[in-house]
Amino acid sequence: MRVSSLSDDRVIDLLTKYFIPVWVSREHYQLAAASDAEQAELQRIDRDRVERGLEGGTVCVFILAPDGAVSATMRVQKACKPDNLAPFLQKIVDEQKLTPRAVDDVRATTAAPRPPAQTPTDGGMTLGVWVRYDDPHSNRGTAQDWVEWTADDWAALAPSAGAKVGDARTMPRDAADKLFQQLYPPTGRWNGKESKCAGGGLTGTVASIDGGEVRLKLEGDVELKYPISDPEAHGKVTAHLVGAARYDPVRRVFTSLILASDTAEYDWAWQGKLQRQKVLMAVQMQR
Amino acid sequence: MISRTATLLIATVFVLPAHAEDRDEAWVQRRVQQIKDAEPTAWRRTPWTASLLDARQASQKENKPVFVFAHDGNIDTGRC
Repeated sequence: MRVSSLSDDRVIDLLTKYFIPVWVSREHYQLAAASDAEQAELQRIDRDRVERGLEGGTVCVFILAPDGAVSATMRVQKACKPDNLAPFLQKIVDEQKLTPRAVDDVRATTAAPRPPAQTPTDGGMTLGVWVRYDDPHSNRGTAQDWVEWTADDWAALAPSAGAKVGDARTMPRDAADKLFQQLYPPTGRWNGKESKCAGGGLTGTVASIDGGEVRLKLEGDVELKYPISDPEAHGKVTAHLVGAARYDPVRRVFTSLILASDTAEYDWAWQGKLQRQKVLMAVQMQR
Repeated sequence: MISRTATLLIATVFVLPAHAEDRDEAWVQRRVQQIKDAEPTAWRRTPWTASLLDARQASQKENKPVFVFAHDGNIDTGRC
């Protein structure tokens, strides 16, 4: 939806002018849990839709009248096409003779992007992870996740006192896997907990020591299993990562870390045939 | 006349992709930025309300309909 209908100028214009738009994640994936009142309201909307005999499901567009009644719905399979959603919204505007919202009202209700639910533990730092298909025609967009490496995880990568150029440290498997587990492309399934690391690792090698800064060259190999449509036809991600990190040996903290895929592919099966898609991956320490 | 070997050598230098040894910090930084910048942002132009309850409250106050997109996963991060 976000790459198709919700990025369509006609839809954006109609939603902005005539509706109070809101998106609701039923699982609150990567988000703080919803309040009981919010959950109850969503359940009331679902019940009302069924009672009125309107089409729909868990992934669905609902139009609510000011009194809360569900007045119209559209399944996501239809709503994801702008040529379906735009006329659907325009018809509501025309039939109800809606007038545009006041600019001040729009401004007062517009929310900032929702932050991730996780906050780093003491000494921990978060890595942002971006994955997309290497295909300009893909309608899946870019997926973003956040991974926390604890103080112990970072310490495992940190060069020791007296480190020399060429010294290498390999991340413990569980720390590397925490990151690698998120390196799956955007698919119809979204939950990182379903991915399983099957091999690979991440190594940092001291590339230079200059004044108060140690620079590391990073290299990693990823082998990840991630299911897509058919649980029996598990998808498989294989990637080679390259990157760089900077470390302050006086304060004993990393000041930057970046990783990108040099090569990355996602193999999955559709009707018994292998499908292979190139993937792009990026990782950046958040400050 | 350039020999076949020399021609092949020139082609190798200019045509073959760079090896992993050439992937320095500047290359990684550019690639990370390119991937981050490719994230679709048009959908964020819509003035999304913070929560369903906030939307209902505004709807009553302004006498305007609510548009709800309910989904699994998280549209904000592309995991949906």
